[in-house]
Amino acid sequence: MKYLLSFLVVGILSISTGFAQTDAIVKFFDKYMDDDRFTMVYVTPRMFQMLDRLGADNEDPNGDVIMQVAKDLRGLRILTTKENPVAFYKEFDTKFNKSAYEPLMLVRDKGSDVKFLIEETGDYVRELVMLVGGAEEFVMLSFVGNIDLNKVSKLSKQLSLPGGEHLEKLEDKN
Amino acid sequence: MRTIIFMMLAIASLQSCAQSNTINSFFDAVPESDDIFKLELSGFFLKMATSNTEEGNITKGIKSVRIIGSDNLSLLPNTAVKRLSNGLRSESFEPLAEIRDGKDKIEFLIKENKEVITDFVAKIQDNDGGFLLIAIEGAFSFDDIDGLDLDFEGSDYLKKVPEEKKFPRA
Repeated sequence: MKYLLSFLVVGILSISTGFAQTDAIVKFFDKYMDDDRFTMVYVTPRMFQMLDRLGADNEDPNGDVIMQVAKDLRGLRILTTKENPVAFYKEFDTKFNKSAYEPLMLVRDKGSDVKFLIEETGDYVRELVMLVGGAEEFVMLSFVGNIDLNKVSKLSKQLSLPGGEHLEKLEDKN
Repeated sequence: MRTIIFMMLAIASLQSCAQSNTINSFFDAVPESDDIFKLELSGFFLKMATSNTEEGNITKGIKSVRIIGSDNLSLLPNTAVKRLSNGLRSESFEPLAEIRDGKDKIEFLIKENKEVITDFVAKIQDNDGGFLLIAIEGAFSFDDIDGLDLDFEGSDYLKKVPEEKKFPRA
């Protein structure tokens, strides 16, 4: 009974922590999504569900990649700014407890940090978070869904997502 | 008993009024002006115009297409623009995507009834004060929207919806 209670407490705490982490990203995004200093992209789960229903044209390799990745996605949030990027990076960093995420890669290049973190459930990557912080820009990107890291950088290239050029570093890792 | 029936009929009619389309109200509130572009196409006209064409399959489910555009947002009543945003939310329009870069902003919203889209709205505002609202009403699927090849200023924004040619109809 004692062990069961312990497991329950640990389970509840871990779930709460998980929700708190996703909540931190959503809260930060909601705070700045209407701020003119930021470029913002928000694609809702509903949009991805509709894309999932459409299917893909096999004759178009580009469309096929988009659909293959998009059909498993359930949300996309991007915030990026070139105004006070260091301050925003620090603000997000203090609110974002990275312990719920597994660091995938850190790239430091020309005074700018690019971090990739993932949240896994079993064998699946449930969320990919990319943070870019430096003198030039701040980028916060969050993909939620059943993510194939090999294809997500191709998707961002096809769609020309703001900050998406940093996702190409994932291809280098692979 | 009769009083109760009349009251219920009155409430039902009020409910219908309360469900008056936010888009209808916005169109009514926008004044006639040489600097404001307004276009309203009925489903009947679209069907007539596209009969015996490829687009005929797409337009058969469309009841109306309405467009308002202006290079100067300040020409549109400020209260009407605010009521538009609030009204779409209160009418349970579901956001599909929102992209904003500075003051350039594009929003896509839909209303569905059992997986059939009954309303599609695209709202575009740009940095130079331009404004465009595209409202499509009917019963159609997602890929039907992009299949509409309307050639007017700002119609390129509809191309941001996935192209029908890339995806076979579900």
